[in-house]
This record gives sequence, C-alpha cells and structure tokens, in this order.
Amino acid sequence: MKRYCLLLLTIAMAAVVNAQQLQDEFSYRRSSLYSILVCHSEDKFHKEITDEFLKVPIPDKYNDFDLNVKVVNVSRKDKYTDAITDFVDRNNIGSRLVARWFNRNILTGECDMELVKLRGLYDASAFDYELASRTPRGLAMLQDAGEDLIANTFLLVNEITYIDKAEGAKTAATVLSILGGVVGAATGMDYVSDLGNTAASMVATIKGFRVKIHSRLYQLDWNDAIANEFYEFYYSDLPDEQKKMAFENNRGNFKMKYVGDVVSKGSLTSFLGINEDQPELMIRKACQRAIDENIVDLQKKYNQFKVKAPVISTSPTITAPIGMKEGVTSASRFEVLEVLEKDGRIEYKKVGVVKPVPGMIWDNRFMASEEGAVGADLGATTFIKVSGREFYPGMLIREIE
Amino acid sequence: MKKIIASLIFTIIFTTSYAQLIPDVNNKDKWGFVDSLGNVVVKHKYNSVTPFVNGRAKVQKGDNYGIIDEMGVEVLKTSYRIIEDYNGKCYKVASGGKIKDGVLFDENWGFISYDGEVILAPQYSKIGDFIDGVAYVQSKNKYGFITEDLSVLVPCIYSAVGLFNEYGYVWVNKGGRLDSENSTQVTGGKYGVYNKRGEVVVPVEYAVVATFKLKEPTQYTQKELKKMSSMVKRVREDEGSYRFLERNNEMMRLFGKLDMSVSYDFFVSTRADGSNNGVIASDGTILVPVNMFDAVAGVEEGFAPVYNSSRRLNYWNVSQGELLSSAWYADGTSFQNGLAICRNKSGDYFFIDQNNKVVSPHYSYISPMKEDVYIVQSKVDNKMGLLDKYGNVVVEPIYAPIYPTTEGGLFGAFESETGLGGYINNKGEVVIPFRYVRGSSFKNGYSMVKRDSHWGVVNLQGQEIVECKWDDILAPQDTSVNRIWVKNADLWYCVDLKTGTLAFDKGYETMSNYSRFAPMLACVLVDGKAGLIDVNGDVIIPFILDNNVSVVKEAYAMLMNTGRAKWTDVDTYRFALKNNKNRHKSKLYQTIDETMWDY
Repeated sequence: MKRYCLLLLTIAMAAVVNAQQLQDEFSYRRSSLYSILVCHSEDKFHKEITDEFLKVPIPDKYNDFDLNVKVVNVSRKDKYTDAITDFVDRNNIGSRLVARWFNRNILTGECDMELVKLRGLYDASAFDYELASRTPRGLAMLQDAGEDLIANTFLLVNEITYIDKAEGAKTAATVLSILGGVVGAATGMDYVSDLGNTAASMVATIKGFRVKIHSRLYQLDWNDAIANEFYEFYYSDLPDEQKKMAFENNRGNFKMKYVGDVVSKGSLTSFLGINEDQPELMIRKACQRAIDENIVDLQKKYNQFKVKAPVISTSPTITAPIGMKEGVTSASRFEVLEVLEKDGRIEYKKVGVVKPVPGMIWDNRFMASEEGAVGADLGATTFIKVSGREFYPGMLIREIE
Repeated sequence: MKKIIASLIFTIIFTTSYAQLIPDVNNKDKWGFVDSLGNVVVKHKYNSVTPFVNGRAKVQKGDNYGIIDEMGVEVLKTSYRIIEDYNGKCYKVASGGKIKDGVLFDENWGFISYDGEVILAPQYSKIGDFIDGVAYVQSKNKYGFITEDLSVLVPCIYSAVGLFNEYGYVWVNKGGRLDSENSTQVTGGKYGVYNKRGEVVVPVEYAVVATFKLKEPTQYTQKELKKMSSMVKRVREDEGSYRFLERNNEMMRLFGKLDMSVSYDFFVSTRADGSNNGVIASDGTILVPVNMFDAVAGVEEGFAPVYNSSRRLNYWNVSQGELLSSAWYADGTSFQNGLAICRNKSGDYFFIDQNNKVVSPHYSYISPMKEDVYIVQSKVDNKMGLLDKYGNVVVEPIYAPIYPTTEGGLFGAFESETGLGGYINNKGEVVIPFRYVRGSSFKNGYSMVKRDSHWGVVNLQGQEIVECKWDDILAPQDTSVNRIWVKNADLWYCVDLKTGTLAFDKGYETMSNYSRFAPMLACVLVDGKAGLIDVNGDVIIPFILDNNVSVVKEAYAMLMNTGRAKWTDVDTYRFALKNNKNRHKSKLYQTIDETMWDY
C-alpha cells in the first residue's frame, strides 16, 4: 500500500515550500458547497439581509461551489420544504452542479477535467495519461473522484426570517409599515414599502436584531450508473452540438437528494466591537453566526456533511485550524485519519483519536476578534491524543459522535 | 557561541579590506579591537563599535558615541549623541538633548574635523543636507544658511526661508509664522531675497515678494463668446496667450523655491494684497518703485506695463524712469520685438513702438503671436491677414477666417469668395490647397478635412492619407494608436492612418474611440451588446456585455487581474451574469430562465 502523504504532495505541487506556507496552504480534499438564501421579502430589512448574506463566504472547510443564482424570494410565512425541493428539481440544480464539476461551457457544451484534477489533488499529467490510456488505475481514479469528490457536493438552502423584537413571534406579514407603505397582500405586490428602513430606524431596531434561519441540506446524487451516463452521453472535450443538446434535454436525470434540516435558535447575537454607524455589520454577524451554527448542527446530524481539517503541527502540540465556528467544544472528539492512495483510489485510515484542550479552543467565529472573545487570537485549536500511534502534519481530523 | 560567530563574521568580511584591527566582543558583552593574531589593541570597554574605516572607528559608551584612532585614542570624546559618517571633510555630530522612548529630542548639531577639532560647534537644532554647496540651518525656530566650508551665508535670524533655486536666489521671511494647520505655509512678516554670495538683493521689508509668470490664455465669458461672430470665436478658442508677465501667485511655503524660469526680476509690494507693487531686478536694482502705480507687470525689453487706478495701461520706461505715453490705453501687452499690442477704448487693436508711435493700422482684432506671426482682422470687412513679428504685412486681410492649428506651423484659412479652406504657412504660402469645406487643427501630423460632403484625413504635406469618401469621422483620443474611425452609411470602420487603408474589414453600428475605456482597445456594439477589440480588430472581450460604461470597465479590470490576453465567450457570459441586477430577484415558485444560469 502506497503511503500517500498529503504533506509530500503539497511539496511536490508547490515550487517553493517553507514552514509558513505549509501552515497556510494545506491541501486536502474538501466537500463542495453551494449556498442559497430564501429571502422573505415581506420582512423588514429583507434587502439588508440579502446584501449581507451575499457577503457571507462559503466556509473554508468546503470548496466554494456557488452558482450564479444565490437568492430566491418568497413573500409570506409558510412551510417551504416541499416547495424548496420542488424549486431545486424544477431548476435542474443537480445538473448544474455536475456541469460545474466538468467546467461545462454552457454555450458550446465542451467539458474538461481540470477542476476534478485540481480539487482531487491528482497529479495532473498522470491523471491525463491514465485516463487516456484507459488503464485500470485510470478507471479507479475516476471512480475515486466520483465517490470522494463529486458525490460530496451539497446544496444548503437558508431560509432567513427576521424576528421583529417589537412584534415578538408575530409574522411580519401582518405588520403594516407605519410610514404609509402598503401591505403586499392587499395590493398583490410582493414587496412592502422600504420607507421604514431608514438608517436611523435600522440602528434603533438593530440592537435587538434576531434572525431565525431554517437550513435545508441537499446532496448531489452521484453513483457509478449516473457517472457512466454522463461520460458516455454528455461529456465532450470538443464542441459537440448533439451532446450539448442531449445534456440540455436530460438535465432532470441529475438530481439532488434531500438530506435533512435544522432550525437555528434565533438567539441574540452580541454586537460588541461593532460601531453604531455600521448596522449592516450587525446584520451580517447575526446571519453568519446563525448559518455557521446550522452547518455545525447539520454536520452532527448527518455524517456525510462532516468536514475534515488538517493537522498542521504535532510538535510540541497537536494543532488544527478548526474551532468554535465548526462547533468544537471541550466535549468534542475527533478521529485522526491517515490519507492513503491505493491504485488510484484515496482511502482514509483511522489511526487515532484526539480531543481539544480546554482553554485552547480557537474562537474563529465571524467577528470573534472584534468582540474580544477569549481564544479569538489562537489561530488554531490545540488537541491532545486520546489514543493511537504517532501523528504527523498533513493527517486529517474529523469529528466523531 | 555568539562571540565566536560575531568574530568570525567580522573576520570574513573585513579580512580582505582591513587586516589590522578587528572588532571583538568579550564575555561581558563589551567591545574592543584585536589584531589578526587576537592580541587586544583597544580594550573591551565599549557597548558597540564599528569597523575601522580610514583609520577611524565609531565607538559607543552608554547613550553617547565617540571616534577612536587605531591606537585607541578618543579623537572625538564619547560625548556625542549622534556621529554621522565621515563625509570626506568632517563629521556631522549632535550633542546634548534628551532621549525619551528611544528618540532623541532637543539636540544640537555641528561639525567636527577628522582630528577632533570643532569646526562648527553644535548649535543648530537642524542642519539640512548640502545642496550645491549650501545647507539650511535651524536654531530655536529661526532659519539661515551655511556653506560647505561651514561659514554663515545667511544669518540664522529668519522665521522662514525657501531653498536656493537653480539661479542662486532664496527668499527669507522675518517676523512671519508658519500656519499651524499646514506647517509649511508662511503668513505675515516681511520678505526679502538673498543671492548665493550672501548679499541681500531684495531688502527684507516687503509684505509680498514674488516672481513673474506668463499670463494664462484669456478665459472668455459666455456673454463675450455670444457676442463674437463664429469666425472670431473659432480664432479666439485657439488664440493662446498674449505676451504679458504677471505675478506668480504661488503661496510661500517653507523650503519652497522661487520660480525664475520666465523672468529674473522680482515682484515686490509693501501691501499684503500685493497692490501698488514695484519691480526689483536680481542684482537689486529698483526697476519700478513700489506705490507708484496700482499694478505693475514684468519688465520686458526695458518697459513695464503699468496700470493706474482706472485700470488704464501705460508703459514705464525703466532706463528713463518715466512713462512712455501721456495717454493711457484700455489695455495692452508687453513689448516683444520692439512692438506692443494696445487696445483703445473704442476696442481697436494696433501696434506701438518703443517711441509710442502707432506703427500699424487699427484692426478689430490682433491675436497673440504664433509661429512668429500675428493674425489680424480688418475693421473694414472683417477679413483676416497675417503680420510678421515686426508688424510687416505678410498676408493682406483677404481670408475669412484664418485660425492657427495646434501643430505643424500651419494656419487654416478660408477663401472669402469660394468659402473653401486650405492651409497656409507663416509666410503666407499655400501649403494645402483651398478645396475643403471644413477642417480641423493638425494633431499628430494630420487633420480631418471635409471635401464636398465627405470626410478624409490630410497630412502636413497636404496628402490625403485617408481619401475624402466617408460620411463621418471621429477624432482619435489616443494619437499613439494610429487608428481613426470613419463612417459609411450605418457602420463605422477603422482606418490605419499609416496606410490609409482599412485596419480590418468589419464595420460596427456603434463604437467608442480607442483607449477611451481601456488602453489600446475600442468598445464596440454588436446587436446592442458591448465588447472590446484591439487595434487589429481582434476580439478581446466578446460582444456579450450590457451597453454600460462601468460594466465594460469592470470587465476590462477583471481581465487584467486574471493576467489573460483575452476572454472566451463563456468567460464573458459568466461575467455578464454576475453583473445582472436581476439574478437575485427570482421567486421560489419560479422556473428561472436558462439565461440566468452559468452552468
């Protein structure tokens, strides 16, 4: 069994490597994530929530797999899970994520494997050679890419509702704008007046700003049968009108599976460190913290959504760039995985267990530094070994139950 | 270990250059010098040392520095705060002051010789760098200058000073102050001027001292322009500046330089607003005394235009010390080649000589001189002609009009009988025949001209480098591109100015000039969508963008950021999608149009 050391791979791929670069640029396979907002246009601050949502980056433990459309709108409170699933299917999002994996040119249908090679950390020329030669190793690499990369593509749909502190739990749809705006239901318009959302009213309101976020998780359905269909009928590295049209007409064959959902607690967010002349930052912080918490909850509930993080040092202490944003607590336990490559396939072998050192958990939540949170300046969480053999930098850790 | 490494480093670096003495540190972290055999030559008693250069080394004790010779004798006692490197003549040193948080305050600077003799005792809070043999000095908020031999050139008694300019003059101010908000601007006090021999050429007794500059081109008001005929307006737009030296209004700033590039004389006034000024020459001669006239312009050819309280103009004869004329003119210029242009209260323009004799007819207009000639307009029939710089007729007023071009020494002129235009030189010779109904000024060696009803381009030799067969033409913005857009029917085409032929065959419904939005690229529209092409017509950004300037500029900026030479269709398509304002307006129950998706 060939030992496939990510650390050495990083050295091989980089022209010049130093210790600082290793710490900063650990390469490992990540799941891919596309994040959408369902915006309640009847809510106060819906515009600001949309603006700030669009600034929230995909968490760094995932590959950014966003598509062009990031926001869809609704105009009243309702249960939307089925409607969202229907939206995902109706708009063929599964096919678009597949197209993104193969860098499909929407105008000509041409595809390539560059992103697969990049995100899969393959040696680019070896990958091309094996594939072109149709060797068993090449086939295994393709299957491996399917299982470990393409199949780990997720869609997160975040339905954000503003909780008006003045109204408590009442839905905003029943609230008339006090400045003369017209309620959408009465006129058939989708949007109430924004006249209430002046900067002054925003600041006055913002101190009790709360949002509730209902996050629904979907996973790309990708298996050997689907992969074979794609490669045979739709993949072409040259312009091919027939294959282009075939893909357009069969987008529905690529689906997203509903995995599950979580709802945030809607708790108050501390606005320490934010000036009153930056109300938009308060909104951003409230939204981003809630989204991050939902992602952590989803990871706990659904194993396939869990993230891995690299061990960046083992001497004098074991550290990894993972922290409270990923839900690390003193009760967390992580398995340590050695990444092995065999005949073109990546395998993760458990070699031990670690746990965080209390007081050494990195607070990497959004704006933790500005808040003056304890642990915000650690840069990484320190772990101690619970069991296992010698670890080395480049191994991965993943939270266990 | 540290000691071994330090000694090794010094040995390696300095063995080849200076074999005699090597800096050495002992186990108490004290420095001295040893010879190549390791024998102590200078005892280890210093906090730090520098290697010997030219027989001298700098040593430190506590917060002070000194200089020792190779015997270890302190040529300069370790009593100086700072000792700068030997400049070949002496050491610049600082002494006194106090150190707070590692920063030295209130020290005094001076100079010590190689042998430790005090040449200039430390007495200045600042000594500037020597520039052309002179450095400013500052002591207790007063300024002066010293020379390189360290003698006083300008005493250190002034509240503010400039710096010596390339002509060897510097202004000084006594009693003024530096603006606290902008600490280089000087207000109040009295000004004067020194030369580089340390002589006062302008006594330090004037509220204003300034230099002269050329008058800017006249800015005509809208009311004035409306009154002009189109012919005259065309000439006035490009007329340039009349010869006239007015006060250079730049504020006095600490260490600013006097700009004497136009005149070597000085504008002086005892009044803070500069009124009732006089003129002093750079040798100190009073050319026009102060408080004699309301305003005095710069002296040229021995005469200074002067104004009285009614804003009428006359000329002060400097050598005679008297006015040129008993009558005052409405306005006038400086003397140039023995002539001045004057205007009387009826609005007539004419030339006078230095005997106040009117030496030309009266004209309704005389232009500033260009290409050694004046454009004049007849009072009789408004036609235009040329006079040379001595007032002699080069071309009688037969053209309607004549206007100067921006380059090439040519004047555009129109025949009054035919209405056709051509170009003449300053001798009146026809260089480009009269066959055009319209023409532009020459720029980069060519002019756009219209013959019959079609446009083309001529060069300075009169050759039609682009044949006059186009319905419209657009003046290039970037003349380095050598391309010009011309129109035929509904499409714009690009012509290579060097060959006169089409640069590429494709025509476009709408386009912008090269380099208007991106260097060396033109933005064109195809089917209402914008893209960028290069000078050969190659598509750099395909025609997929919205017809919006900021989108085009942003796309170009992004292309540059990626370091790629061009974008493909899909690159541009994806960029355009990101800028689509509607991409976040879809509804949950909607099937989003395919044109909103990037994959």
